[in-house]
Amino acid sequence: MTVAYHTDVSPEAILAGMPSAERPCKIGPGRIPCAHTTPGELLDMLRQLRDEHGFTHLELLTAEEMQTASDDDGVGAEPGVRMVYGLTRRSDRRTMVIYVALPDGALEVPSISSLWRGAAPLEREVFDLFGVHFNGHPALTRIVLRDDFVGHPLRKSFEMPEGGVSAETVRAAAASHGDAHLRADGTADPASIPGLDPALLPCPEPGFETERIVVHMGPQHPSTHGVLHLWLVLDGETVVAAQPTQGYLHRCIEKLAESRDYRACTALLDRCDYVSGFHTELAHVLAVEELCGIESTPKADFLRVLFSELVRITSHHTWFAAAGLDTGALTPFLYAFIDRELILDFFEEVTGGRMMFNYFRPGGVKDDLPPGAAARMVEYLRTFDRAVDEYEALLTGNEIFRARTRGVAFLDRVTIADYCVTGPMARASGVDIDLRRDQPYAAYDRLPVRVALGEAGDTFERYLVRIAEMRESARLALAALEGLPEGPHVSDGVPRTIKPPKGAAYRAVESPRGELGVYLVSDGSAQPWRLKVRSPAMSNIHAAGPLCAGLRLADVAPVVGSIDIVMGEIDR
Amino acid sequence: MNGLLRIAVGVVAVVVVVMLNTVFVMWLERKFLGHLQSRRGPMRTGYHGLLQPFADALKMLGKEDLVPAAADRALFLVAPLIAFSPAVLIHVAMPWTEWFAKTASEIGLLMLFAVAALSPVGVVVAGWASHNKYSLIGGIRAAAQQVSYEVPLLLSVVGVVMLARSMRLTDVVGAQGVAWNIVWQPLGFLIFFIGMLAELNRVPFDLPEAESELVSGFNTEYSSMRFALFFLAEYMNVFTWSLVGALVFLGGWMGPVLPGVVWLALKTYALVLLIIWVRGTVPRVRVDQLLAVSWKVLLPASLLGAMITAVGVVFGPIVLVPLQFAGVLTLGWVIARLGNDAGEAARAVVRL
Amino acid sequence: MVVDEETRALVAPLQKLLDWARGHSMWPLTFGTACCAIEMMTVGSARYDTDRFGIFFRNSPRQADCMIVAGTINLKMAPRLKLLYDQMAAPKYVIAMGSCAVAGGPFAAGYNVVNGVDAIVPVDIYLTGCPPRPEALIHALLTLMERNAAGEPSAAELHAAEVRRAAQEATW
Repeated sequence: MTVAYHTDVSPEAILAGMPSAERPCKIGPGRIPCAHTTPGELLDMLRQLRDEHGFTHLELLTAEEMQTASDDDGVGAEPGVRMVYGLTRRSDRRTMVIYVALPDGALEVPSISSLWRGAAPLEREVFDLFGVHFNGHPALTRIVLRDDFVGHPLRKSFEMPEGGVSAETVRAAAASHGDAHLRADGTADPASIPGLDPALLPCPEPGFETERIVVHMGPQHPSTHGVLHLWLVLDGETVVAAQPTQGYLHRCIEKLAESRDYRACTALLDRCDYVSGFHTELAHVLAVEELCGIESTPKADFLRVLFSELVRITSHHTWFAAAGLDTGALTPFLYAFIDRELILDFFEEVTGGRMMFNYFRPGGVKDDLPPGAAARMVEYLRTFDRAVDEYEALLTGNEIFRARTRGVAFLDRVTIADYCVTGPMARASGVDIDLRRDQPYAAYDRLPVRVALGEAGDTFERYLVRIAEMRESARLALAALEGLPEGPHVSDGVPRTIKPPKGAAYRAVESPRGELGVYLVSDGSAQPWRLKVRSPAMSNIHAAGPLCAGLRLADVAPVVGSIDIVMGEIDR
Repeated sequence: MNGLLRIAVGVVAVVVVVMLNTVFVMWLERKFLGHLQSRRGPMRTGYHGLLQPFADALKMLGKEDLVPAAADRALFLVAPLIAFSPAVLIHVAMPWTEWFAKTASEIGLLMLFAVAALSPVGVVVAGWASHNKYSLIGGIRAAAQQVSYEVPLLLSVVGVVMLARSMRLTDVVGAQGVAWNIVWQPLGFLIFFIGMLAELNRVPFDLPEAESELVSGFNTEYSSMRFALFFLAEYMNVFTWSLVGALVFLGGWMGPVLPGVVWLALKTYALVLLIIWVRGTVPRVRVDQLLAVSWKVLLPASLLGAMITAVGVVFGPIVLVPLQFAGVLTLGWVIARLGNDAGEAARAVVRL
Repeated sequence: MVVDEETRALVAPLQKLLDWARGHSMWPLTFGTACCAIEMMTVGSARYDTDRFGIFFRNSPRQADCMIVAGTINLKMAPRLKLLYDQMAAPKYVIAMGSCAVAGGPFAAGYNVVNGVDAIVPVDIYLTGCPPRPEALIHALLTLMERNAAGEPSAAELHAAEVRRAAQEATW
């Protein structure tokens, strides 16, 4: 079904024509239109925007503490929380933001999980960290913190433990699992798993004394890519239902960022998506630059593209290694990591770090390329296709690999919109989105970006798309190196202490996992008031539930692998 | 008395030789796999890491012997022994060289398969007794897998028995004077090799201990020496089945110039290396695919192979060899199609 | 191992052999939580190849000798860490890899981060860095193996001996 949207109607005009949209304004110096509404009208308004105006992509769902002293955008002085909903129209890549102010004592808002199922985990996160209640939510429980955690840490009133968590607290925490979905002896209480239908548990086969079993896969499991936790209901080898759980790597990054200055936040964000640190850095730096009105230099733009693409390759190397291991092949891991090391050597030479770069700065990049580095990178990238050929020789044509991945776990466009899936996951199903081309940042507008686009949407297609992206990234990096302009690598006049004016900005980049955004709110001080990372992997992984249902147990690992998750970015 | 002593010496000698070979196979796997993956494998323990398996085994001996509280204690404790004993016992039927063949039984080949069929029992028991869902699934997989691969594996050597007109392994080797059985029975060899990989739980059929979904499969809960027994049994079986393959299809100890033992060792280790090479190359199949390949492809193919051989025995090698090779090509084509046909609806086209 | 003198003399030659084995074979558990886990994977790759030293990653805690705590541990993960450690068979060792596992690292001030895993499990080797380079992890593992070869007790054993002594003193 295709619906023709009136893309010529600008978001500003739509908001102006909506009676429920109050106080229309702009965030990010004039780029993103926004409006306020009330909890009562939220659901209808979002439905209208989605169904009538084509704002089908829920890009952002988060909350921020109300700035009581602020008044320039008309935010009320009442202490409380305001919900932030960011919607995007695919056809012209326009974004709008809807605010809902919730004063303390009335932290309640209707759940929009009936509009986007992918909103459910995001709302659980807001509930967990801010204490906002979502009426009509299917299973409103904590998602990142332990169920026995006291308080909602992203509220400004939350008292941080002096000197970090004490050893006593740690010992007490280690002594009990603190998980409401487990019984005291550590076995699962399947009926209480959020998002899992208890009706699935009894085995419906008459005449057989069989039962379905519930398996915790993770958080420590060789193929959960870190500390993902999957609840699996199994009927023999068949997966009846799968439900991802997270929070085993929640490291308070968003809270800690509120006490660091804008430049120091980069170091935290490197550790957020630790497989492709440059992308989280870049989204943050772009948002800071937008808030402060700083321009980066042309050379820095090209260097940003160069390193974004190189790190995309290394991220895909890690994915490729896992793709092999998940299907039981050892050698792809070894092959991929040979080349990964060669690229990490370049990172180390330029930034000083193999994984934690801290290289992008507001106004440019930290250092220029050392002498000779560009030539060596060019030399390496010219031969890169041959390395990918070797990877493909291992898996692409392999009968067993094809039998394991072709036709497995189809992801359709409806599910993609429903779960707000982005990145190679969406592109493998033929959804033609790529921020590098659609909403160019850094120097992407000056470079030939070609988007790898699949069709089938199965595990194998996701594999092919990423393989094609590796080749494309090498080509783009080469183009960035060859087109590298002369000039300074950082612009003059960036203040020593960055104090952006009051306001908010949202910038997103195309990370190896999808649209990675940073929503930054400034209160005029040297530290961000709120820093929110829009995690593409978090939206993507919650699509694993519908993807895995009906498959075999052995398929779960390759399917989760094809989602390509980084827990640091999901939990933050 | 003399007879008993001779038997005792023989048994000890065989066990020592088998164990040493097992340890060598362990080392070889890490080394060869390493070199396949452009790294070097063990280097520090002994010359090029030759003592590495000894260090591993000794270390495991010195570890705590854990039994999970919820496990079925008695079964948990005996399972490794049940898995290990057939691996040793199988060598009763093995003719090492022509001079050691005195014990070779008339039904040697049959006995070999009969004893080998016992090994999954240990795995199933281990999976059940561990009280661990992953172990249980691993154990059940082992049962399904071994039952389905036993049949084509046994049928794959029927042709060999027809040609040799005997099940005595010395006769089977002796019948390969003109050319090895791999020339007369290429289809049989292919099925034997695939079945052997499944029987050994080796990649691509290592489902009972598939680490990407079952952590470590049936042996997840085993530590210390009990785990080492599983480990030893696995590699001992690799050696044993390579030996069987060498005897049945590669002409055993037959060969020019070099002594028979050397020929047998060379052929055995050629098969061992082939098994490791496969491990370094391919991913793992899924359980339904595994069963489908066995029942829908290998079983008919092995029956076909036996029939072709029957025809060949009547009409001579001019008919047998081309028919067998035609069978190999057909089998290869069917297996390749299985991989490429899966989900034909999913056309994999990436546009740029 | 901590044993009394008489037993030590009796089993000295065997103990020596065992120490040699423990000094040449080390199977770490694949336990990675965060950034450090990527570097932990890297040590198994072709450039670093820990297989050379007899270091071989196992997935099941029952079969592992050493737990490399590679990454941040938070309050939700802490009981799982403890459980995995308890599932390992003695003698067992712990390497706290990276600043997070050592002392909370950049997240030490947070409300959810364990400031050093030594509050939960006895740690043999503290390896700083954010993340430590693969060479550093190899050095840590080799140091642990050298200690084993020299027959030095593990942190777990020292901890147990400490607990025993404290209990004895309490009964007096």
